[in-house]
Amino acid sequence: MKINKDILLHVSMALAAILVLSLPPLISGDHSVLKFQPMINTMVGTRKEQNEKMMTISHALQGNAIFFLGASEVIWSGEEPHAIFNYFNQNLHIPVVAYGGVMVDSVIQYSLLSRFIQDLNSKTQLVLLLSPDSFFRPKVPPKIFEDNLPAVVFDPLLNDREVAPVVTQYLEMTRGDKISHLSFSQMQIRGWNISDIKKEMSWQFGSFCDLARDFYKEKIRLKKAQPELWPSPEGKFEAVDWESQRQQAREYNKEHKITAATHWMTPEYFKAHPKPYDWSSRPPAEEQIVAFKKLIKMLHERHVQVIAIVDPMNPSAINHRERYKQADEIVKSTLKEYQVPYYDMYEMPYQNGWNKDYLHPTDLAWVDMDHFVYEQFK
Amino acid sequence: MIKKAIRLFLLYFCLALTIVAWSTSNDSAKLKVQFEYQQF
Repeated sequence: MKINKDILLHVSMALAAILVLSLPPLISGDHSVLKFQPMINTMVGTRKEQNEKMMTISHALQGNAIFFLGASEVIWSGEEPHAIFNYFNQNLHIPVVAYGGVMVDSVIQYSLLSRFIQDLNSKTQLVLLLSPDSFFRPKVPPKIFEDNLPAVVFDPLLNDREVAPVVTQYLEMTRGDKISHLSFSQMQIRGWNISDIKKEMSWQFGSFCDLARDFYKEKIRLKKAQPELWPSPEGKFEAVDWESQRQQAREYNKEHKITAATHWMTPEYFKAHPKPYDWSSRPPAEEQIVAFKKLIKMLHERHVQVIAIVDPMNPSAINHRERYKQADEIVKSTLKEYQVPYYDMYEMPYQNGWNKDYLHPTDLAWVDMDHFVYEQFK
Repeated sequence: MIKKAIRLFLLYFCLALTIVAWSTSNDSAKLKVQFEYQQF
């Protein structure tokens, strides 16, 4: 069969153009360097970004930084000067890497740390920030699952006998919900669907384009490089005047109009939710309790220096705070069994100005959390 | 022939570059999770 020379030339030049454009970013994606990222709020990203996040978390967990694992408290506290990843890194010069996105619960925390199990050792300094509401939610929307457990985290977990049933069941519970994309290995569990395959292929293509675009922007310096070097461990636990820090945080609250006039919430939240809402009357979700217990057991077996904190709850924004008591008792007894220090801000006498809404900490609450972490790890 | 090949290469390179510049993985259908946060 005679092939038209013109067609052959077009095809070969098109292939050559694609190769020239895509090979450099693809190769660079596999050669990531260690970067210090004080706050990570999703595991999603281009291949390069994912590699960098994995390297940062891994290096931190090996004992090169305090690793703070929370939820939306982290992502929504980027501006708070006393949020641990700001205050410890910038003021105390003690490296902290924080991970936390919306709705990160015990299952996600357990899965994420299981992915880095090889890095967990007696040098690991880990702070677990527990969101009280996460214990009452058996499943999360698929978007949250995709954000925190993409293929790079999820796939290796299937070979782990302990965590595999937990993540598999967790994924199966999202069945029927709208998804934006799932990896092929996740589809194998959740069920094959043409529309999911299309979404995943389109996402993969988009992700590759993001990778290539970032690569060339960096080359022509359109994208400003962020500070990358891992801070030297020169920071010492020097004496801190915590009362003065609390005073600064109160001033910060005042500047942000978190006052008695708004029931100690931000004016925006108070305007949107003038009346308190009822805490769930359901018992804590079994899936979350199982994952939490497995997580603490795993950390104990790896001799990790772990401490735990639970968020304060704003009594002006929530009715029936006592409904959390059952979950708190389970948390307390589990932590006691494995001698894990626990800062129970739920049970402590409530301090006005601790929450910017019903649950999320203000700068003032961060000072108290910082103080606890400081005392435990100094 | 070589001139034509170079022209075609540049044409396809520009085309690929445009596609890369305009495509992204950012899904527009982001859930309003902050509102769902309280529904438990």
